[in-house]
Amino acid sequence: MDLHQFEIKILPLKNNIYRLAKALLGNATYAEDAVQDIYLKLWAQRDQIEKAENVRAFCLQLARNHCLDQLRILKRNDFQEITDDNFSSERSPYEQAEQQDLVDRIKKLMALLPEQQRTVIHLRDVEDLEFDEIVQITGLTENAIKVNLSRARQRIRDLINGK
Amino acid sequence: MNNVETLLQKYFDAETSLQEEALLKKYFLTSELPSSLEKYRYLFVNLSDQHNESLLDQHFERTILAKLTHKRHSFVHHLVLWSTAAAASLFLTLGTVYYLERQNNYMIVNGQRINDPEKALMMAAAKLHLVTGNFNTGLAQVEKFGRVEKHLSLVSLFQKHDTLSNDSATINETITKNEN
Repeated sequence: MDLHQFEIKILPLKNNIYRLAKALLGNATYAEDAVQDIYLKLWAQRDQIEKAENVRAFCLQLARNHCLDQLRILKRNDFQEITDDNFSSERSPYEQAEQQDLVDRIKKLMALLPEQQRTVIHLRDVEDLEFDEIVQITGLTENAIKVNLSRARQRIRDLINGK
Repeated sequence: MNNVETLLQKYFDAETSLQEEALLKKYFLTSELPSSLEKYRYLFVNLSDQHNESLLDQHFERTILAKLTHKRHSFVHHLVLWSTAAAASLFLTLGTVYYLERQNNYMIVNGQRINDPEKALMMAAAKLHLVTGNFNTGLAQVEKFGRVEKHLSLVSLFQKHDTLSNDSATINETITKNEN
């Protein structure tokens, strides 16, 4: 894959990659930096991209792995900051979130979900991907994906219903 | 949309297809909702907001392509640079070795250092010729000494003969005296 093909096939995925990075890292600045690093990695693996059955799944899988590595490095500092800034230790995150606009509260709740639930609900509900593509990206079984997805959606429903 | 509540329950149980989810999204974002369902609009507004998010960096493509191009060019550039450096260092090494070799092979003639092998060979041949010439002259002298020695030995032989002759005369005289 030469630079021109890379530009045509891979660069248009930049916003998909950015959104996934932001969902996983929880911070736009980290996500922007991550996208650049992810693209350098993708360029380094351009020969493997050509062999990939699903190019978008390959790119998002690499992006997810990169973000998970970053999260290990950051030790979830960013998510700790969200928790510290927005929720006191005396009240549950859900109770605190009720004081804010519901859209923001849903966004914050999604950022606080466990990583697998966060990834799965992002890929399905934000990126509108089929389950088999999510299987390729996450390495989870379809059943595990559905379990994580229903748990994530039901937590949001509980927040909406004030539970 | 009559079955919206059923479909919503399927959605929360993760049993909807992408097509059904698309219907739900469209319904909650565009339709007049009954008050019981109004609260769910926020969920789909949120998902739609996230779906429409894009990179803040408007020049991302240009930046990343410049990085990739730079990386590619810099690889070629580095290759050329390192090849040149390797060739230059090889040339310097061989030159130094050659120079040192030349420095080590020298001869001193009348206090003068000669590094040029051809010149040294010519001078060595000339000196050798001089030495052999002197040697031959010396040899001739030695031969002369040999001849002198030969003559001297002959003289000594004659002298010995004379001594013996004198002795025999003495003996004869003694014999004659005794006979008398």
